[in-house]
Amino acid sequence: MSEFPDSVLARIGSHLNAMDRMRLQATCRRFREIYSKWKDIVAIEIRSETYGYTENLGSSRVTFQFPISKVPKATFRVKITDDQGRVCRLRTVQDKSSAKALKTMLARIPCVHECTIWEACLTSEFASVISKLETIEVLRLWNCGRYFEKKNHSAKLINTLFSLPSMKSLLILDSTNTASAGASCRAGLSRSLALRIRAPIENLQLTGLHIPLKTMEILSHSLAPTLRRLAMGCTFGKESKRPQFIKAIQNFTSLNDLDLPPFIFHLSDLPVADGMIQKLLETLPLKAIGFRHYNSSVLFRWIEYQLPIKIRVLRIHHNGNRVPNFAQLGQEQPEEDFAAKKKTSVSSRYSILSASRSSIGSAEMAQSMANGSSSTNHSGSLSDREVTQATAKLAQASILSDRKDSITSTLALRRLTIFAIEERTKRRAQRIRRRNYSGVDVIYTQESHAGQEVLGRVADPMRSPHVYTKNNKREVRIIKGDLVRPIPLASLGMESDYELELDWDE
Amino acid sequence: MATESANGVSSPELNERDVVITTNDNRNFTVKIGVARVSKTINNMIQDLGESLDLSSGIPLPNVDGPIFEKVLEWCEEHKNAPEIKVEQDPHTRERKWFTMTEWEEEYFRKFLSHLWDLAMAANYLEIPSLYYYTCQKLAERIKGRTPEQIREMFGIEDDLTEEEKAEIRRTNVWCTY
Repeated sequence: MSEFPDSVLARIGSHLNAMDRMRLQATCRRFREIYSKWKDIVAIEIRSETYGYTENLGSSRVTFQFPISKVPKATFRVKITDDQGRVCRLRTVQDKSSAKALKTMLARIPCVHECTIWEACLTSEFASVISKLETIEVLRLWNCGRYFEKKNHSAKLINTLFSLPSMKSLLILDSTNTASAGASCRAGLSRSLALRIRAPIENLQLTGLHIPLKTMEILSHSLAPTLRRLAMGCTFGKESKRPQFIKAIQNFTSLNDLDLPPFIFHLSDLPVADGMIQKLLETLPLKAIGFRHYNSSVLFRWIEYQLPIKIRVLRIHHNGNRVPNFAQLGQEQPEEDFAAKKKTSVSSRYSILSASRSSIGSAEMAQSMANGSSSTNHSGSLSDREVTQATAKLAQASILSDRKDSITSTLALRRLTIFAIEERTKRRAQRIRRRNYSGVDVIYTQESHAGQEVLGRVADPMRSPHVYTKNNKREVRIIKGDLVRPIPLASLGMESDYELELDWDE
Repeated sequence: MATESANGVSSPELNERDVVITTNDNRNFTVKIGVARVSKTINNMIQDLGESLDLSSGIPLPNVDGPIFEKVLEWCEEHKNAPEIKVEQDPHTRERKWFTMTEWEEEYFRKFLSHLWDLAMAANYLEIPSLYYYTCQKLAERIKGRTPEQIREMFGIEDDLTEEEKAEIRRTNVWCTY
């Protein structure tokens, strides 16, 4: 056996799966050495699974004759993928040495490019072995909110993960409800953690994390030249610090793709984004943006008249109760009708309030309009001059000439693709529908594990149904459905596409 | 492969000429150059020697013995006009396609089942990609699903691991597929 060249043995090994390689390792010394490094493994996915009766035992008063471990038992499950795309799923069979087995496994794969960790299953004892995996380019942390909480026992590990040197994609993904339960979420991307990043990251997704302004500023400093995709999947943040956030995002000069949380950008009652956002969208080299949906008619008008022409992909995250009907895109109703309709649905009790609000609204609109137009003037001197001019021309054309036809044609000219991503619902099975409205490709889909990496997730800001309490105790109201921000009760009746046939008993 | 080859004779003609190859047990094999050239190692030698190639005195192969070379020659004879094999991948799944063997090839490996390791070694040294890849695949097929003891027995591998080492391997390899 000793005269066998390594290359021949490696070649044979390349045909064998993990279990066979481990068995070969147990045949002789030579094989143990040769098959101790699996250089063809490029991706690993790690989960853990606890089982046993420990939890029940802790609370029960029954005593047992035989000794039972107080530590919850855990097995690790790994999925490894080799450079030819072959997948092997393994799980540990002995509790005692499962951590050791996983460490050996991690030490065995020196060329791994992708690492996925589920449910914060690794602890700090893995920090040193992880730190040696310097080839990792894609790091996915699924439902790892626990790593980002303040009281975190795995601080060493998460620090190690963030300081991996070759990372191109750092994807913090989340499919849990806690992440969407906005304000109750305790996970946050701390400043010290952001400072650990030393890799030239191109794709950064931060789902279900609170991102303080300081952190954002650090990121905008360190990743400005490289970052191409930024997804802020958090939906809560300090709205008062919005200008500073936008200023920080403005620093990412190579950004192609941006997901913004509602506290930074949402279209509420006006089909115009404010000046800062509009400028942000126009100056960055964006091709795709994503945000949380609020009001269909406003959204459609914004897409037609305000959306910079260079943006080819829109991701609209919406609630199951509020599916934007893109069939109406480009076939907008006159605004007067809308207002009239709304008024009729408002009860007399709220009419005064709503009237006062609408006056505020119109003042806001005037201001934002002014901002918007001034930004258009400014951007003439910016790099995207042609784009802005084209947008202006399109808008002009659509207003001047016969309305319907021209809108349809300009929308078609944009070659726009819209993804309408519905929040995960338990009831419905995953499906994809593809439509074409007014020359715009619309793809209706749902949140899913498979899609989140591409489509992102912008969770809703509060748990639904949400209970509001006013000073007066009689004024408790339950709001169910998709709301982008807490709104005064008064405006609730004004929302025309708010569905009333909801199940209020839940 | 060079079109203009040794002795200034063009390739097709040269392929029909005989060359003598001497294995490490001093056995002489008279082989058509076209067949010998399936081995990249021999082909390189023929090209390197060029003008000075003496077809009758032969090419020495110090790393291959007669019985194995005989078997290799059988393969070369069958594959002298075969196109070079490619390691192909399925473009959709990125998964490597396993080589499908012809009936002749299956029969060949059935005949020489006990010599797979030697064939792999010889094919590696002689650089015959088809034989090398196919033999490795065959070996892997045989190893698949066997216990260490069975593998040792099948290939006559000496068990040189101590009990401690085996226990350590058992501790770190507590995996099963699911």
